[in-house]
Amino acid sequence: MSGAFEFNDPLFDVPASALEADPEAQIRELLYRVSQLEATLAEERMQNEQDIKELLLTHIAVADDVRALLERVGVPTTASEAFLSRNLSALGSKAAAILKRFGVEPIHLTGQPADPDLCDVVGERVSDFPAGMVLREDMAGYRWRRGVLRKGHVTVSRGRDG
Amino acid sequence: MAGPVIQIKCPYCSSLLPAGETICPACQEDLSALVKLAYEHVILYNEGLVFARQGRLTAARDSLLQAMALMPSFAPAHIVLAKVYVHLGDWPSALEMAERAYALAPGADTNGLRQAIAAHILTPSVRTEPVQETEHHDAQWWKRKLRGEV
Repeated sequence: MSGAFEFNDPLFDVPASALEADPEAQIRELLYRVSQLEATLAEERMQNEQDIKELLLTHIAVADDVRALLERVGVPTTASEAFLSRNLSALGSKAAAILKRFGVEPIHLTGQPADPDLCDVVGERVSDFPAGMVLREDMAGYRWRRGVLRKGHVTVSRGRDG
Repeated sequence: MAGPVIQIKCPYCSSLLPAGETICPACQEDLSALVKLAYEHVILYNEGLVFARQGRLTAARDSLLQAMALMPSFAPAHIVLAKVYVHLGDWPSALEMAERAYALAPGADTNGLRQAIAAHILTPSVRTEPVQETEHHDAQWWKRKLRGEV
């Protein structure tokens, strides 16, 4: 056999720690780490949703207070009342804009049959309207991208006969 | 021997891993498994070469074929496999491998190997043909020659 066919070719260097590595074991470990991260991410996402919900509910409560104050001021009779009314109104508009930006919308309940998923009945009144129909919203209800954010408080009709 | 240059980018921080290293110098992550996968064809080549030197020719052939499947452009695997086929007596396959090695890495070594194989393939009567004429024939031509079709 010719010398041209001898196996005198060179061996090439390979990093020693790479030779001992076990890619399968490492992939398994990485997948475990990914699953742990996914679980943590899901938990954090839920917590974030909860935090945003609480923040929006607090904001709605503040907006309710502003609206109540504005109603209490009523028609201004003095310059200072007019100044207060104007500023409260601006504050209310700003609060409404923030809610809109977060996709929060009021639930329109008046004139509809009271839906227990959307509102809690806090009062009843004799009226010409059918029993169970919402006559007044005592506290506005709101919905957002995750469904109902806050149920409304309503007074419903008891019907003509009570 | 240093061997082929294999560039590995750290998947965690995108830094280039220096040759011969398995720990990323930037983020200190252990990339040994990734390095092993990148060097798999070299590992199989080394394994095949060691088998060949030990005379375990079919084991050598299998390792080298795997190396080539992983990195078809890795000429050293073709060269050693050509020699393994020679030792196995499979001259047409040896010539085919030598031709491929020459195509991947044209040079005196690969040219010498294919010429040496071609010289062994040729019968004494054929070997009288001028060398210049036979130099540029490919593997298919040599196979036809062996079958007596040329």
